[in-house]
Amino acid sequence: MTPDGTIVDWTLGELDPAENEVVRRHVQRHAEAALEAADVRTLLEDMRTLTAEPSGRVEVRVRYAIDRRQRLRRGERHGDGSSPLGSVVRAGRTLVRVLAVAAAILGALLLWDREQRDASRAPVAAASDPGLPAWQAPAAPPLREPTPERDREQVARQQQTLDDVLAAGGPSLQRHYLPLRRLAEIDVFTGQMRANNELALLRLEFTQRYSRAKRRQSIEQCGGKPDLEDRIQSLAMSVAVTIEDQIGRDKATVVDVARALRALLAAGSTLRIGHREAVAAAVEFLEQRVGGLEGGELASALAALTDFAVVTGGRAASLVAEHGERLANSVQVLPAGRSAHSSSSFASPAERGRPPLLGFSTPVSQLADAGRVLQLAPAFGVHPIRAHEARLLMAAHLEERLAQSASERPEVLAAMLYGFSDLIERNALDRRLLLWPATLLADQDLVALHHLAWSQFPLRPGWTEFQRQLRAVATLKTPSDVGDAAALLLSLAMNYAAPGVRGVLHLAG
Amino acid sequence: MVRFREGDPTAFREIVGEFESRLVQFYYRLCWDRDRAEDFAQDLFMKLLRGARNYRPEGKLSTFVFRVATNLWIDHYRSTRPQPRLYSLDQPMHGVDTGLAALAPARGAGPIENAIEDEEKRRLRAALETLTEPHRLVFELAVYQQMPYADISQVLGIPVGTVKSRMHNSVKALKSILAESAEQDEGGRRDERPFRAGGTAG
Repeated sequence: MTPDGTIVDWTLGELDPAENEVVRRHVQRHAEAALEAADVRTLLEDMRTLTAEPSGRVEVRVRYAIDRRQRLRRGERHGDGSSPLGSVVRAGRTLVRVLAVAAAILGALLLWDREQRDASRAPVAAASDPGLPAWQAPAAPPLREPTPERDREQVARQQQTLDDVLAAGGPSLQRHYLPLRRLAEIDVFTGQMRANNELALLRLEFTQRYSRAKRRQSIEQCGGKPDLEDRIQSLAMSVAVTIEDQIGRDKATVVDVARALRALLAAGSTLRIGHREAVAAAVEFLEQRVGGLEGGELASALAALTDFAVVTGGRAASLVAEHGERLANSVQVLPAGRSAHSSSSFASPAERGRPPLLGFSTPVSQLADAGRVLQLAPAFGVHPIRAHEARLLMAAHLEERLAQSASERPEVLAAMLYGFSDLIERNALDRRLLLWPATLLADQDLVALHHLAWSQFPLRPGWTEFQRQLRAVATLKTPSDVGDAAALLLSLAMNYAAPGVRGVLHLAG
Repeated sequence: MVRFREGDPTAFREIVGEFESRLVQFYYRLCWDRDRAEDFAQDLFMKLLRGARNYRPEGKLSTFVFRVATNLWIDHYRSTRPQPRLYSLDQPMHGVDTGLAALAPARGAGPIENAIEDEEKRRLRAALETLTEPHRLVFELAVYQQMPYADISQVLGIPVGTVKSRMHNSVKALKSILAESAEQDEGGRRDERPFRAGGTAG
């Protein structure tokens, strides 16, 4: 009889030759031992069938990291000891380091001083936690101070351009615009205060999600499983590596980079926490390109820069102010050389020379982005009435698209809830979206799912059911497209990243 | 690793080429999610890349790589231990029913045969899940990575005798669980209490 377990060792080839021979003879002589050996062998062979096929992305990403490391290393070598000038270069490098440290200390002191002075203007006081980035006042005034003269001129100009745009949009746009305007009219002061409050709330919510413990707690409070955070962070890792790789290889698109940046910020990363390098690369990419973007792409880029500005302020906030104006123009200024009055009344709405963002070829998701950006833009310096009118026109245009579509358009419904929920009657839209559970949307359009998820908050009907569906969505494999992966991350992170959710949880204690 | 440290970029690529698939498999069987397994593998390579400067060539490279891999998993496991693993019963198993290749009928196998094979793999996976984490790690390294006990002992930092006993207990537990589930399939009475091998991790 062999000792217990020897058959296992024998099968795995763990015995020395003498022991091997003893067991082999024993197995040959005893049918029971032979059966046991066959059982163990079959079990191990069966178990070895449980395998996964690698997708190959690990190799691609690691290769990118190696190449980058090599590039950095080559840069370092200019000052190594083998060069005759090595010691001079090393001494120079030490001097540069000392100067850099001195400059950093001086910069920090200046920043601290400016923060002290701007504290009264900042929407939310900087949190005391050292892990949280301080909100840096932008170069342009962060909050617009209304002046009656400027506002009167602006409103008058606004009415003029609005008439032109409505004429270009034709009866179809006018029919949807006028009821919206009657229901959602605001004055300059209200528009400004709403945006300021929204910015303050978003900033406060960010302070509630920058730590892992707080994110897990938030998920739990919303009725989700805290393990969801692991899935979100694994998605964030995947998004960060892919987008950094694409930017490095010059293969990235503005829309993907914008969505990836938003996803990383939603998952709690900033320039100082989490996937810092990917955030820095994405911000730099967008800051360099935003000046040359138009229409839908401009909306996507600004949506990401706005999220970033909420967290950090600074240059991103100035860019939102500057290009937010251009975004409002994309809705309210007719293309050059096309006058509303010169266009034929027999032409289709799409042919009538509408402003870029009111054309039917602009992706719905970019209209939703534009809606969110302009909702917040007055807090960065865009005129509140101008931003409000642009949003009304876009909301009317989305309704126009819904009315003209023969089939149900969940992505349009979700975009309306996400970008314009303060301007529309949302109950009817919510009911229509009941036909589109999260699991079904995840299969068809992850961006629509993100918009739907971020328009939900606790206490609304359907919240619990949506949370249940989200658990199933969390088990989906990571999409190969980085934009889709980012949209999936944004959807899953709704319990702490969607505007308003943390606020409600905070109130609920 | 030494070649890479000395400036040969192809050396690390060779390491990735050699270990990528093994590591993805390793993590896959621990978390049952290929994407997460790939994230873990990538994390590991990044760790190796960062730590290349401090690498001291002692023993086999595979032992070193799997020691780091195991530590990475144990850190993750400890941080999430109180919670159950997050995977759905509906989640497709990679290598079983994902991808276009899986949708196409296997040569000579009809839909009924495929369904039986899937069911069999689910049964095996469920059985493997019943092992405690220390037993699973030993089983994984011995059976899937085909490492000698002596190497496993170095990877996990435990005596060879403990490796042996964990391996024996794992096989015993798996046989028992699979026999029980086969009986249930034949209409036997279902025992609701799962069997856990090695309740006391040695």
